[in-house]
Amino acid sequence: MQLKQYPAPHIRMSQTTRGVMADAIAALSFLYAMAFYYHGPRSLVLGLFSVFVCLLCDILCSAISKKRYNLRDFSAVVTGMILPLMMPASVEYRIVAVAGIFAIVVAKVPFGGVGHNVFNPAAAGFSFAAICFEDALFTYPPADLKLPLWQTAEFTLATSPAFVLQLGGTPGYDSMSMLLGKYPGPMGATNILVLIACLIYLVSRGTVRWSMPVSFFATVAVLAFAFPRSAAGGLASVGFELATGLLLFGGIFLLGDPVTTPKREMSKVAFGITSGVMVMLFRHFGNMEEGITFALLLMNAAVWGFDMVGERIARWMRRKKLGTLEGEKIPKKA
Amino acid sequence: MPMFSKGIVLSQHKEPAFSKPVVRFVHPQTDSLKLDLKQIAVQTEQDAIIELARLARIVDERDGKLLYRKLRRSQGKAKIIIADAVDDEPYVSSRIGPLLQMGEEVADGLELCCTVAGCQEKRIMVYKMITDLETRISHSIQKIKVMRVRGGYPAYQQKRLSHLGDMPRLVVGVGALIHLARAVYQQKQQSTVFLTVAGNCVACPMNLEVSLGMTVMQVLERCGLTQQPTRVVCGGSMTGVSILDTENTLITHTTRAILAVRENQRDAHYTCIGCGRCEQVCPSGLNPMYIHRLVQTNYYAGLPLFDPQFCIGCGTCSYICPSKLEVATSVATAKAYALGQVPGGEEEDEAPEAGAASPSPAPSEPEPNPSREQSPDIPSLPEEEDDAQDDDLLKDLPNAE
Amino acid sequence: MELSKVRRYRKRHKLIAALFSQSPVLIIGLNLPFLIATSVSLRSAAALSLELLVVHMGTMAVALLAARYCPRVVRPVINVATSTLLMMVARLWLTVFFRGVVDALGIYIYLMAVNGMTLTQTNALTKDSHPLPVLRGAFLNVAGFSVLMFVISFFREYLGSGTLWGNPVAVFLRLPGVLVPFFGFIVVGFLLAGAKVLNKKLLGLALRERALREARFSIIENDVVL
Repeated sequence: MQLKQYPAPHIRMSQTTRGVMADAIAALSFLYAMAFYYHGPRSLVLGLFSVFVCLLCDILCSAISKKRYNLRDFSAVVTGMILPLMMPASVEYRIVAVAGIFAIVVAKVPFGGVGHNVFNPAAAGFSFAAICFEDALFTYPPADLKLPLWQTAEFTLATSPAFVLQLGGTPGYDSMSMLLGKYPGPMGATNILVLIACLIYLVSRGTVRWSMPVSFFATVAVLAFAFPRSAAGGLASVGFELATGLLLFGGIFLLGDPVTTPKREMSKVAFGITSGVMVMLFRHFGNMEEGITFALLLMNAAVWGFDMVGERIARWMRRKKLGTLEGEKIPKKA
Repeated sequence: MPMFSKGIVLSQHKEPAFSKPVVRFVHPQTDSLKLDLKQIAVQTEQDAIIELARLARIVDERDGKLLYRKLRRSQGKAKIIIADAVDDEPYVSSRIGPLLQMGEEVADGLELCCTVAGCQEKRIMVYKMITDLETRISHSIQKIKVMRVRGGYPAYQQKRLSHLGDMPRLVVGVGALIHLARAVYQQKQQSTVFLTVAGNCVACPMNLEVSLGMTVMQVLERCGLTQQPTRVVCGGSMTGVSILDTENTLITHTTRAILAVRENQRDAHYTCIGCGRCEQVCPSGLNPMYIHRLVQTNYYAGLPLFDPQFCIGCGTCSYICPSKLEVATSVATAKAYALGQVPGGEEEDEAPEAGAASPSPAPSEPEPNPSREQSPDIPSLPEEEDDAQDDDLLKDLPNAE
Repeated sequence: MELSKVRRYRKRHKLIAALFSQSPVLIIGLNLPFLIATSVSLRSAAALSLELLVVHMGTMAVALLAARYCPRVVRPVINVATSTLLMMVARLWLTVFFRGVVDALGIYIYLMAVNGMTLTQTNALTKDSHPLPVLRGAFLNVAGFSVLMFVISFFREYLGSGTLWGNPVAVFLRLPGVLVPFFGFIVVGFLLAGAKVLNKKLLGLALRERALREARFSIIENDVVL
């Protein structure tokens, strides 16, 4: 019989990388369904176009670096799906294309590709598009407005509650319409209820570890309570901060990217808290109404530090619990 | 925040082998070997039992150590005797099966150990998280209390025993207890070992009592092969060694299971996606992801921070990896480097592909499960000088023709 | 392989080497701040290139003399003094042609006095350096710098402001984000990686040619022996 040698273990869990990515894609599809309900088929076409651009760039870059491209690796698809959800439904196709190309060609592939990238590609793509096309990215169509596929120039676009908050005012929408997403805002970030459902789904499936979003939102809530931007202080301010802009969306999908965030539980909590502080700093003192992507890119650069500190603490805890083994080469300098 | 994970729950697949009776598949010549009682010239009952254990050449299948040495070390010192019937790896039931079927012999063996150690406390340890069993495991077997070990794989017996504190204890495998009872009451030498045969190529998965020295092929043919396997494993499904030559690989004292599986070709290779699940499930609190990356890029200088020497070889990291990478092998390589067993690390370029052990096509025996160790939580009994002249006892074991 | 072909190849390779595979900008990373922060318009590229030409060539000429006649301790002082003087002269000259650009460049005009290329190359001179090859190499380095400046500025100005040499042109896509120094880092990063790849290819060719040359010598030896 033809036997081959295999290393232990000899059974494996049935979920593959495809399954892990498929969870994220399923959650994002919920959001696309809501965007379709509010804005018509243009949102779906934007999503498909963005996925196509990201996949194409990924395949081309792999061809240049002569690596075999594994088509079942859906990381480019996830990036492509996240990008338009952060933008208004009236965004032009070329802006999405620019963001997608920047995300893959500049932020993902040169830093190592799948599994090794330092910066979150979706956050990087959105940040670049925000610097280039600030007006187009932060004016949104009103909810329930079905947009045509090609010409959107003749529709009047409104500003989102995040802009109002930046000026120090109070958004004039009641809580029900904010929860359901009946206000102008990013395509996938307005439906608070659906977003919370996505969060619960992802956490229960194990794609996103609960410690990260919980620590992030808790920090933001505390800071929003302590330093309200609008005249309505206290809990209303917490509600406004959490519900407007890309904060909820970013906390679930951008901070939930396992590659660009720390791995250990305690590092994740520290990262979530620090990210919350950074995001609130950007919101208070930043130029644009939405600073989470910039804050996240800064924090991505510091992930290595969080991980190494976490490893040192883990090493200390491990030695306390397990002691040292005989025959072990204990180095002089840890 | 839990750093040392409590393990993952695996679906055990122990049926149908578990509920079938344990079948004897023995060589009649080796099975009828009797002990020569005239050689014994001792005074006390305790020394008689130890001498019988020595002459019968009983080896504890838990760790491959001679039973009489363990008994001698625990003489007068151990306060509790524990029979180890924990089978936490899927498909394997070679301890709990004989326990349920030959309970009286196990009880006799425990009683003999108690006589040697001079204590009265006895327990049986059983793994609880087996959901697909048709037979229930009762709370006491032959009037001995059964301790249930909870938790996922790897089942840390030590966690359950932590309520015993520093009480000196003797832990013996179920098979060794059965052989001890037979040695004392029937003057039989240990010539068999209990193992499970399972896998999707095996027609009749069952627990067998097999003569030592039989080949793997004979055991597989006894249970019947429905299709040609692509992988034959000696040992558990998570920590076993895959062998290449079934005609020349023999059954030893520590063989717990033979698994014959046939699987489809693997998918295209994924890369590490940095999900961090391996780090979440490691029972020792290691970070297999970074260790794997360091080993793959041959940067061994960065290893001391990650403490790979604490790896217990459970294989959970490779199990849970969604990209199906050989993480456990990399950590084993790093561990060998950290313990100084491989100087420099330059030879390790081929090691991650070579597997945990490298059997040769010549007649060989699979190693007694070197990668799975006991956790250092057990306060071990004081070591004594082992008699050097007893090493030759294991040399002339009878072989099957 | 004929010797004449090899000789021609080596001559060509020298030019390419000074521009790319041994360019101090791309290989050693000198003068990068100019490439990153100020390469946003063609006018500024032209201004800086002219300034570097004046400063670098003049300082190298003076440094050659200083290396020959002055003690080692005094040479850096003389070099920096010369480059500062030349920078002032260049700045006055440039304000005639590029008034607005000189004001916009701010401190970078003044930084050219201590740019890395001049400092390292003047310090590498000894009293045995031959003036002609040194000056030719210096000119080629400046040429390499200005080629890179022009290329990057063209790309960034066209995409970022939609103008070329200050005149607006029709552009399909305007990306103002390209003008930010952060994007300059990205562009220079890609260029450095590309230069490394190119260098490897050229080095491979250089190694091959050297192997050919050594083979040629051994054949000659055999002929002589025979």
